[in-house]
Amino acid sequence: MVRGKAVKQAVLFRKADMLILMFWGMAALILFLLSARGIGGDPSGACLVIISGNETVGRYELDKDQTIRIGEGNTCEIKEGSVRMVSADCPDKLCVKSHGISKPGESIVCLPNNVILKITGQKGDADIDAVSE
Amino acid sequence: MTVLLFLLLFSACFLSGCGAGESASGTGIYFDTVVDIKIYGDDPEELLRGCFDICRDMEKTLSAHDEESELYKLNHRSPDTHDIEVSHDLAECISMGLYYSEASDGAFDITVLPLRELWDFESEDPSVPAKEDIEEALEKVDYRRVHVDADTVVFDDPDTMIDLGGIAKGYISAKLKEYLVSKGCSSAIINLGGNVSTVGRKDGGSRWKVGIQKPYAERGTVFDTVEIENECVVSSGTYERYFTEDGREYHHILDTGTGYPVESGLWQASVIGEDDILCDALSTICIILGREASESLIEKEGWNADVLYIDQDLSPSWYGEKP
Repeated sequence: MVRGKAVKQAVLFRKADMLILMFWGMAALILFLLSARGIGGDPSGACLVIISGNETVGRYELDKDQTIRIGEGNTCEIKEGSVRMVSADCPDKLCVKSHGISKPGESIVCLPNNVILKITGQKGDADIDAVSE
Repeated sequence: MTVLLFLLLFSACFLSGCGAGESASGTGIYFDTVVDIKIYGDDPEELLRGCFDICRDMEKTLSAHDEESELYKLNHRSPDTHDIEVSHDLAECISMGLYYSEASDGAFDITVLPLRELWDFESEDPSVPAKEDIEEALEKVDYRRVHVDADTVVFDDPDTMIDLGGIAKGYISAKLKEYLVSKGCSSAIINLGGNVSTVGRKDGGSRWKVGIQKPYAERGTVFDTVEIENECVVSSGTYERYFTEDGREYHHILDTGTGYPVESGLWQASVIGEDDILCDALSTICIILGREASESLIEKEGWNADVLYIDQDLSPSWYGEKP
């Protein structure tokens, strides 16, 4: 009698199991797809982030050459995986004189216009975290 | 078996959703400085917002150039005002500045603003001021004419003006660290325009690697690297701002004795320690006093810091141990 009850329970469990497994399986799949999309295809790849007035105003892959206008005063350019500020209406033009950037952690700053071009992406373990200057 | 499968799927789901360690990073410009912050741990986005709120507050308090700031209003008080009640942050920062002015016997002087404004290294085309103008400005420089009593700043002289440039970044990074630690954060790196400060170790458990800028080299060129935890690295150098006139170089670290740029034989000093404010003030003090005098001052005051001195032929020497 005891044995018979156990068998009946086991059968019930199996139906519920299937439903739970399917539910979690679907949930895992959806979350996995979402996170993969969030990374943007290339998990270690460098990406240009444009910050203007302390707000992020755009993100761009480096593999497509293009010219991007930032607000009224600045224009930057992505060319062959490197980013430069090509024009700015600030007085010192330090940003335009800056060298091109392409590696995660590098940046070009236009202080007067409050514009930052920054390369984000995964840094290697051997890379330094910051530079004291 | 069922439970095991359930757990496996559950954890797989979790991992794919969040990744192993959460982190958030942000960049902005506050007090004419690029602020870069990266935070690891729980709720990093919220902590990041909290940090930038502090930066916004500090910008309105400690900037000497922003005409809306509390410090600007303090410096442009009416001539018959002797004492002014200010915010706790401003009073505390001035009071810390006075401490380092006193300790260095005025070599580091927070009332240097009239002299600094005269030289105007930030202008598009700076030039050497006339000798009599320098002498006139020098007369207004004396930290002993400012006092802080609780949150009230007392001026003995209507011409005294305060510049917290040599200490404000250290004060702000100390505030950010204090905030992060109070919220339970155990891993973060804060870069305030080259003042690099850290909370704990890097997410992976290793110490933070911080490069030290090579003087007069292209920005980002690393002279040496240190590995730190909970500490900060602050560098001061003659290369940060300078101009050339008649074949002579004039840099922005001014001698409050002569009114001209200091000549201590150093190109750069980098200070490493746990006290952000000390490191910020000390990096400037080291350039002004030179190696020997600054080392004896550190000993005398019992300050806890390591210093990398780089002299004019790029040869390095350490006070304390290289971390």
